[in-house]
Amino acid sequence: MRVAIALLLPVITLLGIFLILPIGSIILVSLTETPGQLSGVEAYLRLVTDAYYLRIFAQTFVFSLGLTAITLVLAYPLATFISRTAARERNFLLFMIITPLLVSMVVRSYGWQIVLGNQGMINTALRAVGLDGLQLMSNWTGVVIASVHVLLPFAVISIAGVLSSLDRSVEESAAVLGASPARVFFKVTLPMAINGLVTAATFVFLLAMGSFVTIMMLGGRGTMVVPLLIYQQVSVTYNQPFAAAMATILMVITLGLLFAQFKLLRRRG
Amino acid sequence: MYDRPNPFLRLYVWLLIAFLALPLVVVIGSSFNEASSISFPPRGFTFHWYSEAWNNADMVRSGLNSLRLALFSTAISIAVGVPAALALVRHVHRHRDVLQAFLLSPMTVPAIVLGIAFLVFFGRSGMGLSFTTLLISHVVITIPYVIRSVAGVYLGVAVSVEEAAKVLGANPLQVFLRVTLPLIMPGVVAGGLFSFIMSFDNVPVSIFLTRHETITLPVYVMSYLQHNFDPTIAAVSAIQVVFTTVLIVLIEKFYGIRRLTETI
Repeated sequence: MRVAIALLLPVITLLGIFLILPIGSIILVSLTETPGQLSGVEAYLRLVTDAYYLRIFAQTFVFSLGLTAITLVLAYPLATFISRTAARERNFLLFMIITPLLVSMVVRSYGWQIVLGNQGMINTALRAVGLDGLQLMSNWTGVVIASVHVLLPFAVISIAGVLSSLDRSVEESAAVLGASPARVFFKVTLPMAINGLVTAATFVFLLAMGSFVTIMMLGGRGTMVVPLLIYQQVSVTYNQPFAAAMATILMVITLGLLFAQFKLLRRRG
Repeated sequence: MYDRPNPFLRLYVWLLIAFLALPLVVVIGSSFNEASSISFPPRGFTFHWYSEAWNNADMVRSGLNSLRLALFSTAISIAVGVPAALALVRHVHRHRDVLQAFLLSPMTVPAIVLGIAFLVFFGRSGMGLSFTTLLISHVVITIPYVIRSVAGVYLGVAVSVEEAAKVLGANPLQVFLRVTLPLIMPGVVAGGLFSFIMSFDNVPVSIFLTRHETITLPVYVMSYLQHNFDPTIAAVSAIQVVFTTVLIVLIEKFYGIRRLTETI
């Protein structure tokens, strides 16, 4: 016990002061009335009643949900392939998936600007063959493409982890006994993998809810989401209490979701 | 159907891999472009943008700031995180999942929330915005990566190995230095590299906490791109892509890329 305390003392002290206190202080600041600024209870009321803010929260939620669905559907076949292919090919694929994952999001978004911009790669190619250019940036199209690029590696890796822990012989038995591939997937693989898939989906959804750089670099006027709004309230409008209220709501949603997922998985066993 | 992958599946897999590689390849390609605006196909071949980046004093300084920040926060995260991981695996039995959730919580709270939380806290507590407070915030973000990698490796180390050393007369320090540390080293190296990358690339926290003299490379690049779109940024980005790739090759060497996927 004494050993445990000694080993944990530095980290508990550090996180106690520099994680708990900062988070406590935004909650406190969000609840304190600041004269002359939208703050305190009024700020919260505004956030849950004003149509504009409700729309941004809804937009953030729908964006994250849609992005999670697209990412999981794209990632699943790739994860299946990785969990079943020979070690050499698998290691190469993992390398090709992890490298972009760890390259700076700013660099990757810049790469997408070069590909999708009005003078970018795709539009130059379209014009060269006599077609009209497309608006691929400063809107949801660009944001979704770049965000899928950010989230796909996370999804593939966590789904591949789930799939490789499954007992393959159960699927093989079902196939031998005459089940079609679709039936094997829905009746055997999916029920076995569902807990892991829920975990992966939650993970991707949470990352999407907090995404900021890709939206800032590839979005436009129409692509406002909560994290960007928080940033603007701090850096442009200088309204910290209001930004703190939004951050508190975002955090409560995030932690609530994690807690729900934890309970759900525990109940399922 | 299971052991011989479907050719369409293989085609799909390689298309997705190409999608993942595309922005990185494009960045590297444009860094050698002779034209002063980004254009396709690239014209000519030049190292001009690399020297342009090198001669931009602000950019170089932001790169050095990021490097210094990532090195310091990684060192501190290892010093604080390794003991925590050891305690989590061997010495804590009750409420282990609660402790683990707490230690890893900087990863689950949205980064933008942490960013504004640090800004409010450092601002109102009088600590102010300096390299030190920026460093503290980066330590908080990077610690979970060290704890998770080290705990992951340490879980696989049998208790009996350390017990044997103790029975044979080694004191606790000797057990740690001669037995435990060498066994968890792959986790320390991978966790360290992870935390380095996470610190070096961070935007949502750094954007709130940096000022002119402490600005980091990604924050500088974002503000530069608001006014310019020349290939100087492509050159800087290409250097980062190559640098990251080298780090991942190192991780593969020390740790195995397969096991890396278990700690993401």
